Amino acid sequence: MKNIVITMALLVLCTAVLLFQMDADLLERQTYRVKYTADRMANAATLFTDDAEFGRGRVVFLCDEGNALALRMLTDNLGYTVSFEPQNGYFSERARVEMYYFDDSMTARHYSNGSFAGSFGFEYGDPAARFIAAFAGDDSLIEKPCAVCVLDVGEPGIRAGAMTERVRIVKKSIYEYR
Amino acid sequence: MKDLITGIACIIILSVFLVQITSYQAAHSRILFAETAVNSAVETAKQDGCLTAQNIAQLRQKLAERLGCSPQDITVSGTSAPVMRGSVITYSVTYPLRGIVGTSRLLGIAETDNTVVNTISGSASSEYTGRP
Repeated sequence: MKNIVITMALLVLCTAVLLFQMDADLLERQTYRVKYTADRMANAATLFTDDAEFGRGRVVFLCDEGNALALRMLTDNLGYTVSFEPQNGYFSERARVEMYYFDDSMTARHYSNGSFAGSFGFEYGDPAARFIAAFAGDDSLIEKPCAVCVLDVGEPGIRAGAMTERVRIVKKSIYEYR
Repeated sequence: MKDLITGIACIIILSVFLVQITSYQAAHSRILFAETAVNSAVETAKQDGCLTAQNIAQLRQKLAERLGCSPQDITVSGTSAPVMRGSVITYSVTYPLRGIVGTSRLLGIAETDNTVVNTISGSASSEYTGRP
């Protein structure tokens, strides 16, 4: 009887460990996917430039086209709808996508979930303009035209929630124009 | 004697769970490797404008070595003709993942039933400009 009681207790413990392990592993894989999706979104945002401005030697991003392609990266790689609703079964919250465009127009433009949210002036290499520090967790300066993507997919779908802290998955990516 | 028999039976039952913890971790590491390898191949595809035959062959070889299967077991499909900068490259990679249940022999699970087919699919934007 003693053996059975101890075995039952160990079975419960092993099941809990297995569940926790599966959750942690799935979280690691999903976090990796969110990271490379943010990278691809930032990359996609820098691919469209104004030809007329380019002819004058300036790189000015076409934000509407960049936002559209970035949204395509989100829907294709993480299974979100075009209205930023989750579909893949793991995430449950609406995604929040913040895109920032820094280019030779010297006016940074900010888009929130595809909608224009504001603009502000900046200068390359200006230590006072450490914009990225505020929202990208990086203290690097902006030296070249670039796009910044902040992708917030909310809390992960953890089953063993009582055993672990729920932390929002927010990934940031900066892509310099080349 | 009775205690000894129940003790051995209990250890056998527990071993199923203990082995499963390690085999699941091994499976996770293989899945993560596949994700990383595919992502790396997609980065190359972005420069080439498509999934080239060489890129596909390298990916299949790399996955086959790590997953313990033959390159023929791995299916790679997607954009195969170069697309220009700003266009979308799609891809889908399917590979077998064997040995999900660590104690399959003990539980009488055939190797074919102890295999899942995993798929990684998505898209990336091309950076190909047509210039070498």
